[in-house]
Amino acid sequence: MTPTKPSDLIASDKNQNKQAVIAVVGNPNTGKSTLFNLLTGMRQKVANYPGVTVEKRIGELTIGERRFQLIDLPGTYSLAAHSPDERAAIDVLLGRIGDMPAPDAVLVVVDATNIKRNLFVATEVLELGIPVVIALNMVDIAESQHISIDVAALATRLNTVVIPTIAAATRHENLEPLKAALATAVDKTSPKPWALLEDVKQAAAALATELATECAAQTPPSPQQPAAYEVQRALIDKGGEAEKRLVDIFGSNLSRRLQLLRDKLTSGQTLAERDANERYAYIAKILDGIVQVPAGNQQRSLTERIDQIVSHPIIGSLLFVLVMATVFQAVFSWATPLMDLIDGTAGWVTDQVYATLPEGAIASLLADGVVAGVGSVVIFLPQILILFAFIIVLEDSGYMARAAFLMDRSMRWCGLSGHSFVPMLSSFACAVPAIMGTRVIPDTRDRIATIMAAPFMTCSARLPVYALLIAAFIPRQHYFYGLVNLQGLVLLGLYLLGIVGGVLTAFLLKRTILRGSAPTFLMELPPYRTPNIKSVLVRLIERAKAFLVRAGTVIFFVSVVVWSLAYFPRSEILAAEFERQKLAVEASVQIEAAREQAILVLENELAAAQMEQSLLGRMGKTIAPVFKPLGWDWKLSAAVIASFPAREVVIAVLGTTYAVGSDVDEEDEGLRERVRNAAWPDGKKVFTPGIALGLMVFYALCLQCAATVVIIYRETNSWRWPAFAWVYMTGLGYLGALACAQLG
Amino acid sequence: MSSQQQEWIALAAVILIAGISIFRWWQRRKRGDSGCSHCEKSCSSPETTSRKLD
Repeated sequence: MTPTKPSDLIASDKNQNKQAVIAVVGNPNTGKSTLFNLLTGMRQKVANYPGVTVEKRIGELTIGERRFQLIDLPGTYSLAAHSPDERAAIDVLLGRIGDMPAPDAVLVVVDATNIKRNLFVATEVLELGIPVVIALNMVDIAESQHISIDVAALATRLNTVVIPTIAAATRHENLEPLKAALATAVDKTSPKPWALLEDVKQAAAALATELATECAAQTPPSPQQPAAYEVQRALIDKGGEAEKRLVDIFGSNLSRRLQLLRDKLTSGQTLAERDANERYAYIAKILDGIVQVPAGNQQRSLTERIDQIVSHPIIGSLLFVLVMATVFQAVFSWATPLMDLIDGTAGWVTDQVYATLPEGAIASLLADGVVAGVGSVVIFLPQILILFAFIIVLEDSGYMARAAFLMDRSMRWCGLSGHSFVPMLSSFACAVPAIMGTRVIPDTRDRIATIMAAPFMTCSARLPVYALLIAAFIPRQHYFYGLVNLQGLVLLGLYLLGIVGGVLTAFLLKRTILRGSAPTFLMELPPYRTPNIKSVLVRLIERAKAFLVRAGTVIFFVSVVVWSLAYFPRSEILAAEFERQKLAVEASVQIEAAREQAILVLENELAAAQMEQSLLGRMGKTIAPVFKPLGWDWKLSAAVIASFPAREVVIAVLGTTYAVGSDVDEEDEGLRERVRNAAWPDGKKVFTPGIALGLMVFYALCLQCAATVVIIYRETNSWRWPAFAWVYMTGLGYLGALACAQLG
Repeated sequence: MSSQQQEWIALAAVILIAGISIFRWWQRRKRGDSGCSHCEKSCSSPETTSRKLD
């Protein structure tokens, strides 16, 4: 497949000084964003469209001396807007977003392996009368599937430029011809708008003129004059975003006027059906004789064969549970050697600090603050990487799309659809992007229900907390010839608890304050592919870097601050009393080993006493009565309170508080041992199995993430929902922990 | 170095670290970031967002 010469098709006649705007449009799964990234490099900025929480990505494309502004629009199958994302896409194309000008050209990204469906939106864009360049993407995959496309003939029939491209993370081709085509397209005189449904276009234009006259007659004249295309979309897409907006402006009477017009323009089928039928007939005519698709595609049939098992309601669901169980088993079984290595290194660094520096505040800051705090979080890096390696491989192979398909049935039970599964899945990494990802959900009530359910999913910040508590309190028991271990099962149970919590929340909301009909869900199942090792590694390194940067910044900051709160103020009276008792021991105990042991006990008592009267100790004791019914001591209460802005902080706080007030001997086995041995003043263990389980349940259900609270506010434009989420989840966590403590 | 001198140095280090951290966080908030590096990395990470589908 060779590119057509853009210069042959497009004449240059506009001035070349202004920064031209190019919108990038395409179906989901076409490699649109990858192509956008390749064209703009790192010269991008992300913001929201004014007034709506739809992400706007703008990048800069430089060709020779000229600079172009590229706008990456949300992926859409057609210009029929049924969600805020799709409405933003049309608004950009019509130049109806704030002070953003209408685009000078549109780059439509078309998947060469699925050209018929992709041309649906492409032909809609062509109707608008904006110069269009089509990037026929994934031609390498099309070739491997023996799909042949006559690109030159396609360009001639569509009367536009078509450039075959390959835009993948690991390989890209024909970007230069594409850039040249775009540079030429923006200078082209706009072609005349046309319409497949000419009668609908004319009726829409007449209604738009009537509405414009009504706007002008208002006192003062309304500035919100509708575009003819917007009215056309309102006519075709009954109940869609275009109709909703026009009704908002012109009142409910407009719905009746639109319906009268629809009745005139159709007979026996809706306008949307007529549009789809005529458009697919038009596309079939364009593709006739220029696209050859082999009858029995080998890869597709292999995919179909696998799908017969993987997407089967019963076998597929069992397989899904088995896959997830394997992942959680691996998280514990495979990570242990690496975790021991990190733990050993942290212990060695602590020893070196105490051996090198004189005893005092500086050594304590470095060893008990920095090393104990940051080290206690970094130790979970291997587990996080193993979990994400599995998730990335499952996604890249195409399995996760099947999981979404399977989950659609479960989602339907709680009043949601598979639409909500992708954000829910994302929230296993972090709830913030997941909540932002709910923008693809068309119905506002479903969107809010998903936003409320997403924070329940076990994010990567919960994993270290679970890992610490499971390693400390759940025995390493193996079953079924060592294939299944208890720790992995408990972790799986906690993940399931999060899922159940989220699903039940959505269920309750959808049957009470967010009552509404179950939405329809349409999703494309990509063919199974072998994951690219390089791509998996690159993303794993990204994840490791993100985790380590977090440990090096936020956790480091928290560790140091918590250390200072746990260390200061120092009591001179306690220190003097310790010195007096130490001298007495030295004078009275003759045997060296016994003397050293007695002094060590005194040192531990001093450390504990100093910490109790420290700022953290006082704060912890003040808040402790609230958590007393849960069986928590003041150290744990303080750690939990400190972790409300970010839940994984609890590890660093526990690491620091238990290090500052703990035994300073070389046989210490790290935080797990310290937590396991934590005791009340009467010697009773703080963490009974019930209390440890209660703490895990608390972390599974509680909303301890300031970023999530803020993003819920941003996405719902109200403090009502984040306040509800925080109170509801914290209350649920407290009650869960209370139940465990009382029953355990 | 006396224990009191050590305490003053440690306290100064804590204040310096806290000050730098808060200043950097505030600067990023001013630039329009969420102020949470963890979340931003997750957002840009392809496996975690629905944008990967585009």
